[in-house]
Amino acid sequence: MKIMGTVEEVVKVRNVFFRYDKEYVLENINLDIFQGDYLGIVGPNGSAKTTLLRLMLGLLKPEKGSIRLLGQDISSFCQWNKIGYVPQQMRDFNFSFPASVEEVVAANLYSQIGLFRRIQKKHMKIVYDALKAVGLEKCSKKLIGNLSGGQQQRVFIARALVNHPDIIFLDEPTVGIDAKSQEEFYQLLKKLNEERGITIVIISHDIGSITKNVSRIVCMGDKKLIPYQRNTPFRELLVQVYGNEMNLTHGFEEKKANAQTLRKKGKGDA
Amino acid sequence: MPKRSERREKEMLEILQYGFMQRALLAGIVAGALCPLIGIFLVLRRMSLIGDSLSHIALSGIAAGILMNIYPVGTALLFSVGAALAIERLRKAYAQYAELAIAILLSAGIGTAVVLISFARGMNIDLFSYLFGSIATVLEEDLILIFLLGIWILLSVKFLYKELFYIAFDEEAARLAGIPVKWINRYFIILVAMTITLSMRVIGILLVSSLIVLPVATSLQISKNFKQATLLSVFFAEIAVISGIFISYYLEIASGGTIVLLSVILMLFVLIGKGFLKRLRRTVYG
Repeated sequence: MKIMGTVEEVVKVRNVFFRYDKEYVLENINLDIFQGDYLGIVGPNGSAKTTLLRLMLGLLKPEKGSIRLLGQDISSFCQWNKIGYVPQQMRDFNFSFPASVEEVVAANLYSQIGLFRRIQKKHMKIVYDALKAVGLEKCSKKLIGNLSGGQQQRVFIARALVNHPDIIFLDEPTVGIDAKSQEEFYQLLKKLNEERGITIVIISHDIGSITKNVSRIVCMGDKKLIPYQRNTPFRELLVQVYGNEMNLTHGFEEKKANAQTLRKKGKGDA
Repeated sequence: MPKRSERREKEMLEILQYGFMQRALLAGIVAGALCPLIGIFLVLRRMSLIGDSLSHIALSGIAAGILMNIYPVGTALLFSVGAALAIERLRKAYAQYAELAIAILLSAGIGTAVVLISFARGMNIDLFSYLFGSIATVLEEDLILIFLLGIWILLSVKFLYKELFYIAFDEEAARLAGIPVKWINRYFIILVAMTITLSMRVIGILLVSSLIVLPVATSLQISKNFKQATLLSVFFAEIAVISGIFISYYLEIASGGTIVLLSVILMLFVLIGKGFLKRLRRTVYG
């Protein structure tokens, strides 16, 4: 359940700098993520969104600055079972891997089972509960490669759910998934966020669908993070981040204007 | 006069009475279980050629052992375990080219082996049996080593099964789940080196990687989950090994090559059978 009134930072990024080579890709990044947030991090390709995510997951180490997860410094953080991670599917996933859905989901029970021990029946119940939560209980025996892209992403959500996580991080989860499945996927995340109070952090370059669904947005661009306030025009922010006005909105308004002039013309002719 | 089939049966039982044949079968069965068991994780992690490079390193170990007059399988084991650890290091240095580490060690191994072999002329005959496998010459001391290492590897895979599976499927997520990925990877590569060393007696250095890869390739075609893929690959390997040993004995041909050829035939059989079934289903259901 979501606890109202208490605002707790689950992720706290302070003055973080990071570089792969000579040049910094992230400079002086500050970000607070609160419990129960449904946060979207948007930005153009190559704006180091994934880098920021990997820093927050401890997969990369910042050169300067600090990152705290659930109140603990990342370098000594050990409650990894409370963190769910859904990787960028297109990059990381081997589609012909001979694993069934339940095997993939059960693998993440490691923190509950421990080294050298085997998966038992009671663990499989947790797996089925997680699959039920994402609506895939009927697919548990199927090969993961035989599912659709949308279903595969839901399997990865179920994989995160077996540990009852506090936060789920998702990296471009809807790439290559059709519009209808994308919508269902966002609805599922919303449900998990509202009903279970799971903090959700989602990275995407697809501004259109993400702004509709999340409750808070930050933009990345030019090595910086720019928070989006509801009262500032979104357009200005896009110019700041993407360097030009998005053709998407631009084109839409042009079309609208054209339609209006046409209509006026029509009326004038009549 | 007994019928032909009866005579065959009698012959079959007879060959099992020979000590060398018993040793050959036992060693073969162990290698047939271990190679695909290790192989499935290697293939899925796109490291299937590691068998080749470690076996070439093992060859230089054999040559060194023969030169220094030490038990060659022991030196081969030492060499290949050392090389296995080096591969893990090189894999990090060339993170974007996983196969490069394997190629580097393969060249280093064959280079060392050739130089060592050129030192001593007389050992060519001995080497030949290691290169192509000579199952009939498996000694009792070989068998003891094969069994001890075999049990160790089998238990290791059994107890680390879920960890190895997770690392093969998604190494990053495995790390996030708290699995000590680095240590398990190192330990696993040592298991690979041990498997190759103990199998080379049976199937030969040049052919050992095929027993690691082929049964896995066959089982990947038809398995519905990971457990099935593992068990089926062991099943296919055992069919090839056991029938290969008998066939090579009767036809008086090389056992290693026979086992490999049988594995290839099994794979083709499964591939063709699968394609045929697919076409049949399409014509029946439209």
